[in-house]
Amino acid sequence: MEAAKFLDQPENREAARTISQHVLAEVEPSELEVSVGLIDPLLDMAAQGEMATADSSDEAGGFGGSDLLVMVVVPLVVTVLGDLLVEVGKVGIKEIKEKLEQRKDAKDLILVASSSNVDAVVRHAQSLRGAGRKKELTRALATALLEYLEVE
Amino acid sequence: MMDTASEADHKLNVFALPSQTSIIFGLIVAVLLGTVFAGSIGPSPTPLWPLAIGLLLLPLRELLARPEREFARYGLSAAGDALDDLQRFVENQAKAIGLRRTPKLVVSSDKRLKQPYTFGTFRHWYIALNHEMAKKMQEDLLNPDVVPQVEAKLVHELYHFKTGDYWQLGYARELLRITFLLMIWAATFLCGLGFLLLIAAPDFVSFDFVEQLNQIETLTPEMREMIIRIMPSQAAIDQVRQKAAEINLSLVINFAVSATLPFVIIGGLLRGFFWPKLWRMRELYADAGVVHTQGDVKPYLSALTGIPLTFMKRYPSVLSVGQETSDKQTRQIKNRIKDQWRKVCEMIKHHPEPPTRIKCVKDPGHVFDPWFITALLVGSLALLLDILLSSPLTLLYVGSWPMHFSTLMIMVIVALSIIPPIVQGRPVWTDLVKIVAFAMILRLGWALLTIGLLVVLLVLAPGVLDQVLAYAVAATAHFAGHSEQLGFDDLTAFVIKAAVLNTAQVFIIAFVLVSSLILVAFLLRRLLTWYSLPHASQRLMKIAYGIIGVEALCVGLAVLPLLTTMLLNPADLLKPITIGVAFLSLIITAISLLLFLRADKQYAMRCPVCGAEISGTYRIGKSCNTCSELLHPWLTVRYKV
Repeated sequence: MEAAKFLDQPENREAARTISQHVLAEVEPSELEVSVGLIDPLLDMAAQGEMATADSSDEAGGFGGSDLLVMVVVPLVVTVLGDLLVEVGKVGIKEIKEKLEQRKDAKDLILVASSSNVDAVVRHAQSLRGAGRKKELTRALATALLEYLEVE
Repeated sequence: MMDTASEADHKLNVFALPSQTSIIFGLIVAVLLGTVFAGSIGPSPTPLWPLAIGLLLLPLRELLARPEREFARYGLSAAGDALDDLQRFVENQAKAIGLRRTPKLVVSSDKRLKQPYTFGTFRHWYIALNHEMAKKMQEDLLNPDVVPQVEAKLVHELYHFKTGDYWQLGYARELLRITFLLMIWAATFLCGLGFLLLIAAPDFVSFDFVEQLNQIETLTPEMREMIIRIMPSQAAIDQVRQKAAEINLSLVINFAVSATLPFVIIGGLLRGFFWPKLWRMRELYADAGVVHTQGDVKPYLSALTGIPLTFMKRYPSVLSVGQETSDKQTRQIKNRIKDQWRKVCEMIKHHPEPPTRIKCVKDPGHVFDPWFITALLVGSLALLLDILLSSPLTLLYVGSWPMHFSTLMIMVIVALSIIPPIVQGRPVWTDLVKIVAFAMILRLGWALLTIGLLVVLLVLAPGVLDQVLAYAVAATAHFAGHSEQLGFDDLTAFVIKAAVLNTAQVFIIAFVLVSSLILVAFLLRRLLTWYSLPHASQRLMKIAYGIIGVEALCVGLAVLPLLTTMLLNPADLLKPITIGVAFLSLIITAISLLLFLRADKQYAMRCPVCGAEISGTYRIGKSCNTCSELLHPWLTVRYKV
């Protein structure tokens, strides 16, 4: 519900989109070209509290898997931004920025939020690619958030 | 890549170009079956033709029996009345894409059956589904928002029948499996036969038939005379005895292992790398079939990713807004390594990675391999073929026509692989040279390795070299298991001759390949300007294949044999058979070239509708300057990205 509320505002949605792109560009640059157009539909899903699950099967003869990293990155970004939102008690990205500027533990807050959600999101998305890149995802997400929220 | 916005909708029609699936299938079959057949028609003391017939027919039998096995494996049964709507939907889709028969839906409750898949014989086609999935699909047919997604999945499966990859994969799978089994069996059988002969040989050598006859008291002298008369002469029996005495068990085992082991190893390599590639290719074609049929990529993307179509539809484009990776990112070594590693991992998978699939739908040119992958495919296969053809079964031919088979194979594959870039209007000269160079470097490496080994042995252990060469000769089909005439009079002369000829051949063949392929590329490029050729959609590619075929004929029957004869036996150059065959193939080439020039004058650079002259070079999506008619519309397809 928090995520849904958060994504209602266009600037928040833009923030989630930008951060998702940054994370993807860092973790899987070759996927960015084909995945960036899927960010918006995935944000729509997230806004309704839904989440696409990845199929990692490689069964000969089957339709094939859908294990795109974007399917992990978008829900992860939305979840972490949602957590920050709850933490600072604000609903707008600008307000979050302002609030974080005043907090000395802003960086720690972002780092904790980034690392604490990866496991759950990857597990929920059932993504093998995501599972193999948890560390990279955490690092890239933290960097993208710190940059976007201008926290040093 | 498309150059202008007006051409953005015109995507390359992959079905108008040579099928990559068929090419890989052809390669697997040619490598395995071709070499066994070549070995079977040679002068071998062991009858190898049953092996070739077995290898041809057993996979066919297994292919025809496969549906029965699949039914048993998953406990499949006919879909039944409850799934009538879904079966009818499949029937309509099959008709819409022009299938000549409708595949039957078969279902199972087996949990291993997670995704729909296709199988069948030439006459019976099936789409297997998990029962729950089938029910869900039928329910989804009632929801207009989800129907295109269901359609995408089913059309994908139907396209496996449309492209014919279902039987190619079925046959190739069994061929690889049976090659392995049959060769292991053949090795065991040949060793056993040799062992049996060895046990029987002493008795046979000492066996005196006349003496045995004389001991049979019931025979009358007339009968005895008659039996002796119909027996082979004493000289003939002595000759057979001598051969029996020369049988050497180690040589028999050497022959059996050397004749069969290369097939097992190369079958394994084909199974490990080329087989998954065949699977991946067929998926890309089936994906292309889906977007061609639906005219939009969104339902396909929805089916692939599971993102509901309603969310996709909110955005005008889900692919064209994609941005290329920035220079900064691609320059990072870490990312490059990651990309390469991903590609390596992809090599053994049955499906392309989802990003690759989406990329191929966005720009179908990606279905066709870049030069390096083609070079790797061609180079490794040519090397495998060279090694396989040096096996005992075919060494005699290879001795007379070194590297001819693999050279022709390289020529045909590279010629087929340059059609897509030529159709896309891309230059191919440099890629062509790079592919040939790569294949030749591999070949040179192999030749140098062999020559190096020979030289090292000649210098350090000539006795061992003599023994190794004797074993190599004994291992060829002609001498299999016999120990006569195995020695070499002058080892040094042999090594020098082998080194010079093998090295020279690599460069000569590289030159022949590059020049003939440049000619093919020129003719193909020119062929694409035959805008006014009637029924071009059906005829143009056939003419392209004809050009490649005639060029292969000329190289295979005139250029290579003449060059080889000049190198190996210059005295045979004037033999009527050598001159006759070369002359015939050159005449065919000349007639074909004249026909090409005549047709070129008639159809090239002319609009099929208004007859106006078309200026400039060919490019995909090109239109007539006068009437704006799209030229070669069948090479493109329109769908929304």
